[in-house]
Amino acid sequence: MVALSWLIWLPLLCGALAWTVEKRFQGAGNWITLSGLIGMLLLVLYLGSLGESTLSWDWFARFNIHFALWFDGLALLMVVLTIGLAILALAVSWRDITLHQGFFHFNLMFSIAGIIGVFLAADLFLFFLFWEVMLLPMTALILIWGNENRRYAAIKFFIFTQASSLLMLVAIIALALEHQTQTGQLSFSLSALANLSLDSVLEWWLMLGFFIAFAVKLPMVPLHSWLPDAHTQAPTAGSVLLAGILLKTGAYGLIRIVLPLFPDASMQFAPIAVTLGVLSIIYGALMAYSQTDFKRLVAYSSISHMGFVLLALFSWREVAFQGAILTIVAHGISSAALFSMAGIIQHRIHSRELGDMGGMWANAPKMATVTLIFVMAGIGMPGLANFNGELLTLLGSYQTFPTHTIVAALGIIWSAVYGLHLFQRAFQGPMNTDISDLHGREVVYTSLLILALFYFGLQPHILLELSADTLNNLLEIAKEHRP
Amino acid sequence: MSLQELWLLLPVLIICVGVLTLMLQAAWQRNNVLAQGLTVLTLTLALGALIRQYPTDMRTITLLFEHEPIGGFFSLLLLMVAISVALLQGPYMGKNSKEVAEEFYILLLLSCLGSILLVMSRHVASVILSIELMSLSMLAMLAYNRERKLALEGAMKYLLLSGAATSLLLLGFALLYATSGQLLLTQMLSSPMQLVAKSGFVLVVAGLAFKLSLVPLHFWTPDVYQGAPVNSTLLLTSLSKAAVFALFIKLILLIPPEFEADMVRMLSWMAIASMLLGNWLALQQRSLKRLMAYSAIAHMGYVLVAGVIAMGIDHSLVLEGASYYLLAYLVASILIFAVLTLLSKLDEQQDLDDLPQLQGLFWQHPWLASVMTLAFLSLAGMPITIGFIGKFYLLTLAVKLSAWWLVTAMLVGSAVGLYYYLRVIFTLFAPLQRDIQQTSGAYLSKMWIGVITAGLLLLGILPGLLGDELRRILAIG
Repeated sequence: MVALSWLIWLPLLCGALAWTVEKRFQGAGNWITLSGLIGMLLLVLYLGSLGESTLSWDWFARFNIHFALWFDGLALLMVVLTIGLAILALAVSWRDITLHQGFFHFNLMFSIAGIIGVFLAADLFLFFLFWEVMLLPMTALILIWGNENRRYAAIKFFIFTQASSLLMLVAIIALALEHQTQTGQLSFSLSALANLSLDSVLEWWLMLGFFIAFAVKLPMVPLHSWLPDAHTQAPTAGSVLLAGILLKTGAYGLIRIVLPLFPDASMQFAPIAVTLGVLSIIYGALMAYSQTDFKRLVAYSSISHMGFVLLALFSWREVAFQGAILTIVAHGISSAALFSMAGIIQHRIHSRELGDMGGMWANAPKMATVTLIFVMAGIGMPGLANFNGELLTLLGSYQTFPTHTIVAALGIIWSAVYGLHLFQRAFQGPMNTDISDLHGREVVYTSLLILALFYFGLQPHILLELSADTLNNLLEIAKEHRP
Repeated sequence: MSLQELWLLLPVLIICVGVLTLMLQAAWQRNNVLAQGLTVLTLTLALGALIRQYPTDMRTITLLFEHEPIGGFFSLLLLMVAISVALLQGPYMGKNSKEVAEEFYILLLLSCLGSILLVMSRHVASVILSIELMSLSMLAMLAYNRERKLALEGAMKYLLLSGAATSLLLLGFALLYATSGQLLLTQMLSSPMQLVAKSGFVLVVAGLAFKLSLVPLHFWTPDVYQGAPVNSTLLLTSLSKAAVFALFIKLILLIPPEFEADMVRMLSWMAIASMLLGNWLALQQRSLKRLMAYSAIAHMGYVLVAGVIAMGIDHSLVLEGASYYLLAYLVASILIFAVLTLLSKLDEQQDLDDLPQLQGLFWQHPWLASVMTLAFLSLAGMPITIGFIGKFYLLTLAVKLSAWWLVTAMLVGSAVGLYYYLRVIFTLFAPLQRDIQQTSGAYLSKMWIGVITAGLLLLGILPGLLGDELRRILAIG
């Protein structure tokens, strides 16, 4: 269906348009981007109502590469999340960006296009292309509009993700060549490659190539060190996108590529992956506790939460898979929410240090309440979205990896410690700073976020129904391959 | 020589006529605009003639030359480079330069002539003659501003070392001739090789590796690049590399099977060393020209990978890969040096070369900076640029042959390369510090740069446009 490709063209067009128009009319870029995003949201909901759809155009015949897109429930979920958080990113930076606004919107929309491309691609060459392309505008966002140490953070972010994705490129090529040796024709199509029966050594190496690329994005300890810098230095919009969606592309890659294409190897690899996942949970939580920078604290908590996704995915259980999907969405919303709070505070007091905050409840009760809800969501309070994800993850993976799960459960306790620590130092205690409360625009989007957190906390089945096909497919594969 | 053979030589003849016309013009009345116009006209006519009678199979032209598709494709690339240099020289010199203009264009045409003949050569005599024609005319262009000390120093270095390299080449051919008694390249290499012949071949490879600045014969590159006027550096980094590589790959494909294993080993090490060392040394460069010199070393290492693999299997994909990669490299080099040329003046003591001088270019001249950014991204092999497709070809080749050492070196090299390319790009986007002057006017040159940039993006986004046709263009398989 051709309309599917408009999910990619539309942000590109809007970005270019916003850049050119902003030069003439100050402030027009915001409105163009906003209307573009709302248009995309309507389009994706319309496409979603039509059910699963695909698209395939000839692209590079010499290597049998197609411009192929594939849109199913999971893709719908991720694209809606992307667009929703993009609107949030736009809302938080509505007046924050004072320099080169047009170019800012251009970069924002181009990275959105790249991310949506990653979620839709059904051809590995195309997937790789989008995977790389979404990096460039994101790096530009960090580099141009970031905080004091932005250059270092941008280089680190770019090189970490780029270097690891080179491994993925080699794995993709090797996989396509393997298809050629088996069937006589090169192919990069995901569905064609899923039918290959791979030699176990080859499968292991290929799996590793993909896994490392995704693990860097996820991020997994010990490949995480780009994340705290990138998240801290990025402008608020950049942090929202990074934590909300970009990390999820790693998890999405695991679900779409690593698990279905290399089931044997990933089952073999599961103990290592799960150990690293648990390590990420504990390490992230401990590091988060010892931070004094608001954004850095949230960044480390992201590492901890994404460890749950890794744990869930590699335990190969239905309940755990569902937990992973819920965590992906819930963490997307809650971490983006916390980063936007950090942005709001930084905009007012020009500092991210918890030491400079304190006692802010007195002056800004609305802000304090909102932050408290976000923190509670982050530490997995029942009734809010994150709780379901973590519960199902632990429930599912206990069947396969009981010891790991017990240790991971400790991570939840730690998350309460660092979460409350954050809230207590920022909003309670003696008053350190004078701060103005949330104003109209901020109240609107923070209450929408709260609504989303409660909604998915109480109605998680919507997410599970959307992703059911993908998960069932994985479970079928698991049944065939389980030793 | 029959009339038909003469007809096949038409592009070459057109350039010869162009050289003579320019000489007459210089004697009659000096006018740099006229000279530039004549040069561009000559090159465009030659391009038209080449496209019109683009070879579909191999035809020999006398004993010395041959007219075949691979050479044809490379000649197209060479003419593209020469046109770029000719178009950029006008704005670079300005209206009232201290140096004379016509001679530069004559030298440019001569070295373009040499490079096209080199690509067409099938005989030792024509190889030596055309390689010298190319190098010697380039030598004069490297020192075109005689008041620049660094330029003179660089040219002197190039003269001595290039002379030494040519003598290696000659000695190598002499040894090969001594054992085989043949001077045609195909016959010379098809007879069984003994130790003397093998060492002769290694010497030939060394001579060519010098021109390609492959490690360990790369030492001259940074100094010469830095010293030369930036437009001549462009010629050196593109024209001579492309032409010599065409000959190189031709020779490699002729290697007898029993010698292959040794050559694979030797060339693999050269490729790995070039990729790693080139990228490594580029890391801390402040001078853009030196950075480009090391980057050229690394990129020649990458194309050499194709050469190494050529000895393995699947000639068709190898030739396609090498051609695409070289095209990508040339396009990116032309664009980077073109931007530098538009920001520099021949008459000044120094070109714009120091990295901090470029700080904030994007905010002052967004188009120039965008072109440069795209070119560097292409060199770094980022998707949606032509460089990525080139890298994709080469990686496919290397993985197909399971040449894991080469793959590893390519990956490490690319990862290291990212850093310094990124450093340049970040500098372009940093806050503006001081005013950067660009040459005003020169609309034709800027349009040409625009066309090449569009090509860089188009062939990166729709690689099928060229990739699907390349088999037919190169008439292989």
